Amino acid sequence: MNQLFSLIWFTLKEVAFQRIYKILLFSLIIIPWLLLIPTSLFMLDMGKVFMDMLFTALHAWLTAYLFFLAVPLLVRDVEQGICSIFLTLPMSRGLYLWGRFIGVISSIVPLLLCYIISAVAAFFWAESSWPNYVLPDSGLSFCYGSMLILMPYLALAAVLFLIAAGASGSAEITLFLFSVWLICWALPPVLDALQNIEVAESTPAWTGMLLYGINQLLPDLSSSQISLSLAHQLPLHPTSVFAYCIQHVTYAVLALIAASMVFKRRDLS
Amino acid sequence: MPCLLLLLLRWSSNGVTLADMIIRLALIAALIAAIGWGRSNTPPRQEFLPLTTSQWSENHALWHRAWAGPVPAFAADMAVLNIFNIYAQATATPAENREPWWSALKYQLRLGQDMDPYFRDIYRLTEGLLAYEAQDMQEAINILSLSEPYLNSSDPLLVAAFIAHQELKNDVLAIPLAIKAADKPDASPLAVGFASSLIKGQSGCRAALAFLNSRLGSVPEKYQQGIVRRIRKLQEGEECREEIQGLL
Repeated sequence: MNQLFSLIWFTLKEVAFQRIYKILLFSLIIIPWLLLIPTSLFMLDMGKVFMDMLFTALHAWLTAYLFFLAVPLLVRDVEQGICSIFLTLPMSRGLYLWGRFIGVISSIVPLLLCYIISAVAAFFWAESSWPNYVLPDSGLSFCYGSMLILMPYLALAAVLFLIAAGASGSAEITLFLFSVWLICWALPPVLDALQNIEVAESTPAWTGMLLYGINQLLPDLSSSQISLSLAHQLPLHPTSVFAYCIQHVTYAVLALIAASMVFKRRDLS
Repeated sequence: MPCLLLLLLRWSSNGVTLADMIIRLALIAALIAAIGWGRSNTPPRQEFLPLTTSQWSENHALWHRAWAGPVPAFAADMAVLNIFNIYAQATATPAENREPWWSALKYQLRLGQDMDPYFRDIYRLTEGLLAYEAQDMQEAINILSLSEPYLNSSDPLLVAAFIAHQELKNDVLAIPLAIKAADKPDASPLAVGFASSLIKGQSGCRAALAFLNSRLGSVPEKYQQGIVRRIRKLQEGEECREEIQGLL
């Protein structure tokens, strides 16, 4: 267990000491305040618009974190053989993957905290500046929404580890992760739209079946209803929130177990 | 640009002659001048046509939802910003050439409503720009009436009813919209009064009084006084008294 904590701590420091991480941290403090500028252009639902922009920025930087910080970390491990240093401790391959995964996820926490604190402060300012156009407790709704939006990225990070466990290097990892991210981004809203009779009639039945099958295999990145409801302060049913969290956490665990199995069979020589 | 110039100067000052440096400076000055010329001679945006002038359809909605992914509300915000731009371009264009801009405006309003049906700015822009600037009353009524399942506010439906009554002179369309507006949880006395006056014009005083009495129980207490006053006013009115007495 000590080895696991040491690896988590090492990963945290390895990620946090990179210049891009510090730049990202600094940017996340400023971004909420910059987003107030376009928000001021709107008329009635300014609090909602501000929250939409914050949620979009959250999606953007979480994706950027995975592609520009987590992917290079795993690429170094695979291509430069850094993982062999840990594995000769001795440490099991499964433990190594879990340590790296928890480390990568833990490194998001300081970024998310800075982003949330800065955004909540910006919400306080917005509430006092535009009292009739920003709903009270919007900051609280944003905190809640941020935690929920993080969940699909846990699953996506686990998919990244699954890809990295079997991939030969940087190009493969980036390409496959990008493909998975793209499908996860675009597929759930398309499946929702296919429920519409007019769209369903103009689409071949096998297309719907194929899309549904792909969607079952990949994590559901869509949190559109959650962000829409929270931005308008509409109630979220606790059961559906619980199911949403369970879905992503279990997906992440399953993907990481699969990653461990693939990584154990991998020839690292 | 000055930073780039300094960087180039510093880089070029390592072991080069004065003549070389002058040539390089001249080259840099020529490049900067070319950029400036290019920028000043690029046609302004007003001269372009809008990107989308096609009709909104469910297939378009499908693609936009796929593009927006988990942030459809942000796509609605972008549609509103596009509407501001389209309106600015339209007003800068001669009146006879504005049709493509109004088509684009309609498309963006449909897009915004589809992406975030709770977004009040979309309905406000529909009534302000689509109905009274683009003069597309029917489409404005269609978009405003889409607010019914999503908003507690009676405003969009009331405006839709008003446009149908005032601009299209179509009370058959206006009355159901006005009744729906009066049915909203926060329906104001204005919405209830407008609906009752439409019903009175179409079906007479008894129907209007029946409607007002039916509203009494369903509107918040603070709004009931206005309805009671309107019932009394109708009952005391010459026209209504005659109609009710005639029926008796």
